[in-house]
Amino acid sequence: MAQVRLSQVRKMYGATMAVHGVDLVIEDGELVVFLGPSGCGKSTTLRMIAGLEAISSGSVEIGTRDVTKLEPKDRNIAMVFQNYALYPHKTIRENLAFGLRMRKMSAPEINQRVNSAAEMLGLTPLLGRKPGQLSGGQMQRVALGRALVREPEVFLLDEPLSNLDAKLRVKMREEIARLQKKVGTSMVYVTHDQVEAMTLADRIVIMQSGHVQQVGAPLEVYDRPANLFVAGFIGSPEMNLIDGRAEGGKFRFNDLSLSLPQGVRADGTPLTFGIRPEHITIGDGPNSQIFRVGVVEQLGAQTLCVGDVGGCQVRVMMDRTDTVSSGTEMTVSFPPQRIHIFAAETGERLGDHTGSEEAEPPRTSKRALETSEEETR
Amino acid sequence: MVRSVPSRIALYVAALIISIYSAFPIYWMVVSSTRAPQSLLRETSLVPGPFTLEYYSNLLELTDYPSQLLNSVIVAFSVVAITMVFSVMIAYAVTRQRIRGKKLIVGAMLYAYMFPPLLLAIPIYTIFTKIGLGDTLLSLIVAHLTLTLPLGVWFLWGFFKNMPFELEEAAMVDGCTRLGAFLRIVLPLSLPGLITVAIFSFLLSWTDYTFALIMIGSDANKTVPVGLASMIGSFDLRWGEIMAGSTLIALPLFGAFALLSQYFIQGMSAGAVKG
Repeated sequence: MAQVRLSQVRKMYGATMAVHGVDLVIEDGELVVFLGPSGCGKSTTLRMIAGLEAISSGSVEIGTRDVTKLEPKDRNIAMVFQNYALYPHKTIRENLAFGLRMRKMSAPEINQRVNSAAEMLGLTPLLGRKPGQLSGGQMQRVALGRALVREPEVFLLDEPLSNLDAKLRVKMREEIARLQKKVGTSMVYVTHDQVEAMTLADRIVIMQSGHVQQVGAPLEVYDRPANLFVAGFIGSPEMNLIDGRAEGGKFRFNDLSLSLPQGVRADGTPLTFGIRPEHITIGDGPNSQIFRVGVVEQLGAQTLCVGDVGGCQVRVMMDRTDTVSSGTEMTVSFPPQRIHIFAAETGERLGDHTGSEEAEPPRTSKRALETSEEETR
Repeated sequence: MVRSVPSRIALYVAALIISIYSAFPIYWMVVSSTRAPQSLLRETSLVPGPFTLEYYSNLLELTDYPSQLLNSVIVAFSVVAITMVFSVMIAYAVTRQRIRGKKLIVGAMLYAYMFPPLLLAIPIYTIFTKIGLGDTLLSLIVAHLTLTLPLGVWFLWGFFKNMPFELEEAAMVDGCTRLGAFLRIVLPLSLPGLITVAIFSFLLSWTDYTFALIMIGSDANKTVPVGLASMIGSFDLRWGEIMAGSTLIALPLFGAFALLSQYFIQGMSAGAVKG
């Protein structure tokens, strides 16, 4: 078990930079999720920690060792791959034991570790089989087991659940969370699925085109997205984002006029106004407006309405309502504490209001780390 | 797929005809090589006999056949060994490493196949005589490699390409060096491909006549196919000995196919179809 420290880690492919100077400290025992759309550099960063991808500049430390130039085998890490990468010609037992045999461990010790890992993952009846005879979920468990037996300093998981069907994914997600709590080893987990990130992570690192956009606890990222990208990426259905400008302490767009949250001082500048569909309230309140329903999507427990407020398309999530239909008009309001304001030009968040109903602003994590802004940008 | 009875019968009949068509010459060769001299030229009975091993003993005791056999063995095994080592290395490098001119290397490998062997053999022979390698087994080995290496590289290239790189990465994370991952994971998984390449290059080298005829002049260095051919018409036509010699040439091929056909079929389908 150990801390992992990335300092100014960069990856260049020829002249194009795939990862722009990532600074990050992963604490001992922490589960950090790299989240972002495909091609954002999250997997590359993970592979640089693993040593499977050469680091163009910067350094990676695991514990007190600088591993920047070490081979993967010398880094004392274990990795789970998206396609499991089980050795097809070896039995499950041999698959689990391979890494231990490579480390010249004694046979009784190997047996003991393999058996206890198999026990923990419910693989004991499968030990004599070959990977080809297993289902996707079982293969995934073997891949986890192969990482587990090694008792490494860090677990690295590269989209481990994306080859599974939706139901199994939820189950394996819980299993991973349980295992991580149990063994207490630091874990870096790469995914493009925000639900996985929100449910698993101690902290989420959101990346886009090689830049870290925000690092924070799941709710912190949800409540206070640092910029437009994070605001749009986290949350489902997506946050309503309306481009307009600040005039006389109000946000204006077409006929829409909404009061800005406290602490946001902007006048005459282009702004983007954001509010999550689930935070728009039905009925009179601050900033109330007329909402004209266009499309109704029944989700079961909730009803999602897509419609129009003052000439802007807005999604509103409400408790299940059977009476709304296309053309229904209702009053909705935008609670000021739920409003997010971003500078339209830079996309950065303005103001330090919480964005949540909790009175106290969330503590900024001590281990928070800054995106190093690219000098060349 | 469910087939109706008549179509299944037709299928079996067709299979039977094709099998007889391709197996009969082999059968006839073996039968003739063990038929006593008087009957050999007069009888056309499909049933073997009267039985004799006279031709085999003549061939092995009175002719250069044993030394030619040894030459063939040396050439074929060297070709197989060199082909295996180099085609594995080249194919792996071409698949996994970023190499400048990778396409050119692979493309150039095919150029050898654009020309009939005879067209290549003559200039190769000229070069070899100029550098003092004319009429040696080495020259023949190198000549055979011009055919077997491209084949091996192409075949294994397809094989390695289909193997997920994550397997090697997993092995590297598990504690192997790159070479270790290759030896412990990639090679065992490529076994069908390796065996197919080995059989193909052995076949090419062992049965080659064209290159051997051009490269080798002296009786001492002749390989079996050329040696056998020179028995025809030199003093008389000894069918029995020729059949016995041919049987001996074919024997190791039978052996190899019988033992390894399972891998061979696997290798063929994996390399060719799976793409």
